[in-house]
Amino acid sequence: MAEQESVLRLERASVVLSHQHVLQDVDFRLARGEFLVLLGANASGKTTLVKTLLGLIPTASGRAYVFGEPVERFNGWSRIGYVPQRVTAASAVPATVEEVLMSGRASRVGLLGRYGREDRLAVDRTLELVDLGDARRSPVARLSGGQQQRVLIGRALAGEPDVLVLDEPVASVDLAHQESFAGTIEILLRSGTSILMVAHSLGAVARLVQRAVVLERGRVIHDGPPVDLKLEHAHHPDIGRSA
Amino acid sequence: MDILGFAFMQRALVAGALVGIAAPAVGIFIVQRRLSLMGDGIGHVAFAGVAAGLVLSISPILSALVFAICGAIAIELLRNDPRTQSDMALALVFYGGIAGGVLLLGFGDVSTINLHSYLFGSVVTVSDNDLWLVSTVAACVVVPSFALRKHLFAIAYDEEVARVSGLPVVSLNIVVALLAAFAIAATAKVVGILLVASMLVLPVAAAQQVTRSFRATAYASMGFGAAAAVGGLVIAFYADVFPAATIVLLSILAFVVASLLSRTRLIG
Repeated sequence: MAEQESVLRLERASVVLSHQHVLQDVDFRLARGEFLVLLGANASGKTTLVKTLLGLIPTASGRAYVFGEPVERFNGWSRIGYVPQRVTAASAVPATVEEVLMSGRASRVGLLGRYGREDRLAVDRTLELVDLGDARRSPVARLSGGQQQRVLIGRALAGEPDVLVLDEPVASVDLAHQESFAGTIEILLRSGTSILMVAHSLGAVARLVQRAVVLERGRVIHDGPPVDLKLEHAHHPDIGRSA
Repeated sequence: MDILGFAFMQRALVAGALVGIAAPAVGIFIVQRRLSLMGDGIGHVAFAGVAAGLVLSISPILSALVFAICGAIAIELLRNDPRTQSDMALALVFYGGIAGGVLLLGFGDVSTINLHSYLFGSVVTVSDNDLWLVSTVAACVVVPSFALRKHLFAIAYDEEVARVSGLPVVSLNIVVALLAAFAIAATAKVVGILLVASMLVLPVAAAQQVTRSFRATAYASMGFGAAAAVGGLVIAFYADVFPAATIVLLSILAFVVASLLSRTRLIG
């Protein structure tokens, strides 16, 4: 059934925030094992779409489904890794890279449980994957913007999710690390992870993208292979512009 | 003059050390969520609790605890209501607590000395019963703060991601508010209602100047808290000054020294 194939889905979803229609009648679907990029100009509703999919923002009409279940009833959240849009990964109290990555596994251990060997191994693997092995005991606040971004990606990956949702993850990452980020995405895709990424432009991951959805003023104006996008650029000069 | 030769000073030192450890144990999660004024909000409600205790002639620590718990839950619920903002939630509770307390005091014949001891702290008047109560309440703060630290850290670090990961964010935020209420009720007798929240925040502020990890900050802040309480009491005893004020000023001094040390890169 098509419904079982989609891991994240919106069905004619509209979202109203502060009396404004931020999403209008949006149909959206992320298929299992797919790498989908969500594009659009600033304030086109990209982040709102993601938050609606994750149940952080309620729909005014229409529904959101996760693994075929209505989002409000879904409870397998440890299968989802979420990298929100953040200016910084630093917090008011110092924390090391390792501590932040480990917190990505908090929901996997019981309330009174402790992190075990499996958790430490998962964090070790993730540190390698996001290339932060040397910085594991560094306070997050002392890292560069790009490194902090990788900390947030690492936190989501430490939970070993089936679905990864990234909101502008490479906004402050330099070109060399965008390449290494593309390498990480490639590894994840090979292991069967479904990935939804919000971006301003395709950048280094262009060769991996299977489908692109473009939003404009809360409506889907393109849904298909990213090659088609080049045609859209002519009409929507904002879309292809890098951040 | 041997400080430990006096039973009242022995009790004061134990009570001071206990709240010095307990208050930052939960305070660190409040500081991390940038809600440092939450302790003050709860403290103001605890004032109404102290007033109720004095008027009804029951233990003001116990009545402060009950009021602080209600205040803590109120702040957390108001914060989560999309119609109110965090600072507005705190303001409502701040003024409600003080006004309620003053109103309650009008119903009884409360001595000013007794009231002062709770407003400004009177750690040297801690009785054996008070000490038991303070110890129990302090344990009720430290044990859950430690046991739940993984989840509390995840939520304090990033509430939105914690919510998506399936953690019971609302319930655990209420737990933190309750732990803060317990810490404040235990601390009120030591430094007084007016300064009570300083014990939750200042040791953490000092510790994080010289630490690199959350774990080290947690332990260092409990150390700073206990040291400030004991050090403040010793200084106050020999210099014959107010203990509560000395403890708080010593905490601020610790912050200033730690921040200078970190700036000159001697540590960390």
